[in-house]
Order: sequence, then structure tokens, then C-alpha cells
Amino acid sequence: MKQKYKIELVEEYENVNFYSIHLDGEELTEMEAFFEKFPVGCEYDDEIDVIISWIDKIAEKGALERYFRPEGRYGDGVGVIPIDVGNKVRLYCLRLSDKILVFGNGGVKDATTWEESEELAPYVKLLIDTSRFIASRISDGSIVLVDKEIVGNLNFTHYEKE
Amino acid sequence: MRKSSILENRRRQVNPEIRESVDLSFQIVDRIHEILIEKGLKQKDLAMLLGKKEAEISRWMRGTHNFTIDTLVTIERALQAPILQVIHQEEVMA
Repeated sequence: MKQKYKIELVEEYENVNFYSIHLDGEELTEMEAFFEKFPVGCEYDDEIDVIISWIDKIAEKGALERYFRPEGRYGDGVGVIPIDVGNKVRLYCLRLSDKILVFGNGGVKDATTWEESEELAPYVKLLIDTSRFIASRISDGSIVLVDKEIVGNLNFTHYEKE
Repeated sequence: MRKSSILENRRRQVNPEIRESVDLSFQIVDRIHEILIEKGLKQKDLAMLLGKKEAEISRWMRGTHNFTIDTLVTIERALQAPILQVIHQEEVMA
């Protein structure tokens, strides 16, 4: 299945910019779609509160590597927001630098590993592919990371195995 | 500066206690990081000093860990440096 998407700026701060994947035909970015899945009053309120509090600290301090929990595959920069309460909800992101984070989607952990989860695996795979696409475009010069900004062609096509 | 209205709406409803816990956890891990840098140590050295796996120390250092007093005392002893300080009433008044 072919999926077109772009990377879009969602929030700007003094030390860091938050981007997110925006799938073609969808109203919301993946980060916003994630939060819409967990309305206030849902059973995961505390975990969502931790995720937002953590995101706000990252906004203040920058996306330093030591704050991230690696997920995905070694060296691809894909991480999951670390939470210590309940520890069931997963929000995935791609850390491009101390100043640039790209958020994907996430959900409730329903398997031992993300690879075994039908719901979560596509979100992680999309970020792994995005990491690969960006690395390739950085090496050919069609994307440049300038301070907090990703400059260049931010439209992508992802092919998902049926 | 750009902000997401969906996130902004959800932010306003975050439980202040959870926000303060995460804030304190960040302060603690930043202080531990500062001590490690000052002493020329890495997280794996702290793991060795505590007899823990490096993965467990990394998990503590991400800013959302709920540290127990026992853990903090163990880290302070291992690094021979203070992490948390209790404020007394005279200091509050001052």
C-alpha cells in the first residue's frame, strides 16, 4: 500500500521545534491524532499527563539524547516517550537533533514488543522509514537541518507491505 | 511561535501533581548528570558503582522515573555528592 505524507511543524519553542507526520487525506497530524485518541477522563489520563509534562520539559531543555528511550532499530533515532506510571501508552518520535523532534502516532501497548503489535508496528515502521528517507535526503542535500528547522523537500511516500 | 490548539487544550487539563513530579524528576536526573560530568563518570560507571545494569540507570535518567528515598540515598552515597536538599522553616521565612 502506498502512503503519501509530509512532515509538518506543529509547535515551536526557543530551544526546540516539534514536527509531526501528516498523512495525505487526514485532517490532523499523527501527534494530534494520538492525543485525540485519549480524551480527558479516559482510563489513561495519568499516562497522558506524564507524556505531556515530559514533552513540555523537552520544550524547555531541548531534545537531549539522554531523555529518550530508544525504540525501533539501533541508530535510527526512533524513540518512545518514557513513562514510569502505568507504562502502557506509547507515543513514538524521531529525534533528529537536540533541537528537532518528529512525532509519529502511538497507542496502548498490546504485545511484548512493538514488532508483535498490529496497532503499534505501523507507527514505528513509518518513523524508521522516515528516518531513512531523511538521512538519504540529508546526504544528497535535498534536506538540510538548520538549527531548529528542517529545510527542503518534506514530502514522502511510504510503501507498506500488505 | 506556533502551537497546536489540540495540545494546548490538553495541556490545560494536566494534573498539576503529575506535572510537578515530572519536573522534580527532571531536576533530579539533571543533578545526577551534572555530578557525573563533574566527576568524569558515565552512566555505565554509576551502574557499576550501584551493581545495576546500565539499562536500568538509563531508564532512571529520562525524566519520568519516580525515585524512592532509598534509591536517592544509594546514588548520593555512590557519587559522594548531595542530590536533594530539604528546606527548613527559617529558610522559607528568609
